[in-house]
Amino acid sequence: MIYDVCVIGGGAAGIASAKNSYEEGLKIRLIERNNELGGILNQCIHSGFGIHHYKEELTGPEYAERIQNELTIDIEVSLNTSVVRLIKDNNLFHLTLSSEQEGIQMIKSRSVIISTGSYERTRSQIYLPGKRLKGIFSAGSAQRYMNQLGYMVGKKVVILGSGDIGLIMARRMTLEGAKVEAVVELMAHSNGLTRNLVSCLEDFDIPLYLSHTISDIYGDKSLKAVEVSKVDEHLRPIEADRFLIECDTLLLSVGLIPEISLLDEIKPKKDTKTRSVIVNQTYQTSIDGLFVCGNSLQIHDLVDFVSKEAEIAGRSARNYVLNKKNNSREEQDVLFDEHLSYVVPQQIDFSILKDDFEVSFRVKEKYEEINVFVYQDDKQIKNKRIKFALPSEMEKITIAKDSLSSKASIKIMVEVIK
Amino acid sequence: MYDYLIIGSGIVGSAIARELSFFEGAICLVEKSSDITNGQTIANSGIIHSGHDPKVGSLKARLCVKGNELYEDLALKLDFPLLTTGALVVAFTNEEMNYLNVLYKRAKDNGVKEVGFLTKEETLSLEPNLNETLLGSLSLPSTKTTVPWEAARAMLENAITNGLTLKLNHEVTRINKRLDHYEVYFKNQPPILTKGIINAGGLYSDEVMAMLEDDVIKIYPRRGEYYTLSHEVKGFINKVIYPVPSKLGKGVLITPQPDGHLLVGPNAEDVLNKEDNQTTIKGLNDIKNQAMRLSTELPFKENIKNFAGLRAKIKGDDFYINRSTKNKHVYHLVGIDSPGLTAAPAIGKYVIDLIKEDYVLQPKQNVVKTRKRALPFFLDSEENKQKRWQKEPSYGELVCRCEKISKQEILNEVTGLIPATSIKAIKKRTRATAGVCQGGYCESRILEIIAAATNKDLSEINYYEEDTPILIEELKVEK
Repeated sequence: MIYDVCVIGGGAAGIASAKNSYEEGLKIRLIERNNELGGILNQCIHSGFGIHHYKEELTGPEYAERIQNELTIDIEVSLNTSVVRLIKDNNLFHLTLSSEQEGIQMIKSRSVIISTGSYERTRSQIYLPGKRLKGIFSAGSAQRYMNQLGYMVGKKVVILGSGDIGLIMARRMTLEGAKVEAVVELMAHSNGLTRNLVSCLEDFDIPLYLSHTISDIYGDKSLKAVEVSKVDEHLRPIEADRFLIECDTLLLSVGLIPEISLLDEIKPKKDTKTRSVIVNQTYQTSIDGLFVCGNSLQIHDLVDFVSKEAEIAGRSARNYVLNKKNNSREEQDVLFDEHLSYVVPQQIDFSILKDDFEVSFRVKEKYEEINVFVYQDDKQIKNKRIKFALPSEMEKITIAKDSLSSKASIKIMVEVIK
Repeated sequence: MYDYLIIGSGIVGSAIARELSFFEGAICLVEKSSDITNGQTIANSGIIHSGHDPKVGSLKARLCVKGNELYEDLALKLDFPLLTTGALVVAFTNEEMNYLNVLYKRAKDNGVKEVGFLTKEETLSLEPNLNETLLGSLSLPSTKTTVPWEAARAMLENAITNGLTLKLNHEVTRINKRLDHYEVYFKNQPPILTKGIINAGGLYSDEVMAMLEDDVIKIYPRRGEYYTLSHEVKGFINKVIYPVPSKLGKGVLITPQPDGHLLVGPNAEDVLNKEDNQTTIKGLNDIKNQAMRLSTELPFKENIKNFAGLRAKIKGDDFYINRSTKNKHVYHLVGIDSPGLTAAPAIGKYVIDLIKEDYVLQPKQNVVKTRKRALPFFLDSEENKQKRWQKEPSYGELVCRCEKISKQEILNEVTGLIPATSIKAIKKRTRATAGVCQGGYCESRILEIIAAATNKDLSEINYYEEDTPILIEELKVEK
């Protein structure tokens, strides 16, 4: 039997894309390595999910439950199952599955949606020096240890990086009786959502050191203290400006990286800026029938936007399967100026352009106010004013299909007002 | 009462243990750490050098060349990873080109069988990613790389099969000499009686020596830091790349590992403390700058782990391997720094020869000289995978996504011949957590697997040594 759509990864993106890829008669399979669907939502027991999508504030597990309930029974869900290999041969994807229940299985599918999420940037990826000691965690690991295994990881805590998981963990550990001594951020601006800065740090009087980093780590077998240094304009520690903080735990909240190692063999075209793949407005990669969405495509701030992106990826996979014939692509790059760090989608395929679509992007620096212009053939087709544009908050701009008068590439330009 | 007590489970102690296990007598190996090979053996370049570097006529030269020759056969018999990469010593100046002649002659004098010069074009055709301003190189085809702790573990497992007793968490604190034996005391462990002692205590071998001798060879620890570039870069450099040594030292090398990673390092910095194994911003920057001279495009963005290891330097720059002048049946091995890994199998035989000069060693009957390691599950054939899964379904559960390690492989090591019951020990045995995400996904899963298999609470499972539990206590309120 040949599946029409196989969705790999059963978190928020996988659930939404599986649901939206379904149509009567199609064989859809959703594959998840854990023993439950929901992915990382299951360990995010704080609230703040669903404000856009459901117009109410849910906890992570509640959001996960809500979206699962919307899955139809016609979708085959495989839990406790890992995809260990993905190749494409003869226009079909071949997936090698591995599970305790069924051992090694090979299945075929007409299309594949990758929704495998992301992994946390590690200590060595930020060249954090010092000894290898017990007591250093990525913020997400600490979150899993506390919220899913039910154990404390430490009592006196320093957090490096002001990403949202770190901020959430600062509050969580404080509420469980730990003392969070400081959050240390290399950049001059926070990397977390403003609402998290307020509700996780300010409300608990936890100091945030901007333009600082951890320059050394002390201890024998276990962490005893960290050395915090101010950094210069090149982000290098200033020797004269440093101090020690005693702690037994260091959480690293220094960013997420899309997890796409399953694509090592298929090798779709990659984007070094997002550290993921290049997609068009349907979230299809350079490989026909291969779609990527959610955090495995770009790192999102809000699960609501993950769901939205995945819905489109799901519908696109369905359209791809129903269309059967491979149309020749008419792809053009989405160009952008130096104010932005990336855009997604990176291309528009004019041959299948049927709907309006959104372009996501992030600014490189913090701006009080910017004007974003979209051009095609030197003609302005859209503009959007954004107040308080922050690198930590993903921005979106909708491009109306009808505003595109040719099949030329579009360019996004930013005018800095303040 | 043991006949011989070996102190230290590094590559040297393990090699001696294996050789000694072929003879009659009760042997015990004690290790201060909670797992084997946690000292110099866990943090070095993993190179089996050809022998172009040590001073002609030194013990280092002799044992390095002999050790190199022994590795191939040993890796086959003991089933540990060995990659014959060959090596290039790369010259960038006329002065360095001249020095290649010195190295060539030294290699020849040391008995290195294969050594030759390569032109610029030949060098770049073999290694196109080297800095193209190079002028030429010295080629050493017999250079190899291994996974040092896997080699040591294989030797130790072989020795255990032949009757060796291994005791972890045994840190020697004092040794009393009796009429015809020694009483060896440990921190928090009962004493052990033994007729002979082989001190392979690595960085701490001088301190063990001081418990027995008046004249002690002092160790001056020297730190070397490294980058580990992910196996994404596999093939970027295929041979061990040495710079031409300078007054400043041997320099930073690029070393392809058997698992596909590229090691870049080490620098060399004298430190005061034997536990000063931290990485430093300065050290890592220095390494980067030195390595980029060898290969300008070296992909440091693929760095997945930095680490530092200490080397047991002594004055005189040769190994010290000798019998005690005043204590019968006592042998000291001090200052076994580079090329200690290469020399280890030869050191094992050398120590046996020393003992044989002093006493009669009776070969053991029915001795086992081989050891087999199960192939990593996901590298096995489809047919074997099926068979293995039918027998042990947990092979089907993938735990470490980056390195493709199954639950059953972790379980096998928790209850293995040398049980691995910490996160770090599991990492050494299976490679789980060694990939690009560094355990971000699987560490907590491994913790649960170890706890369940050893019937312990999650808060009793250590990261590394004793008293390094990852989780400190259960949350008061139910989650």
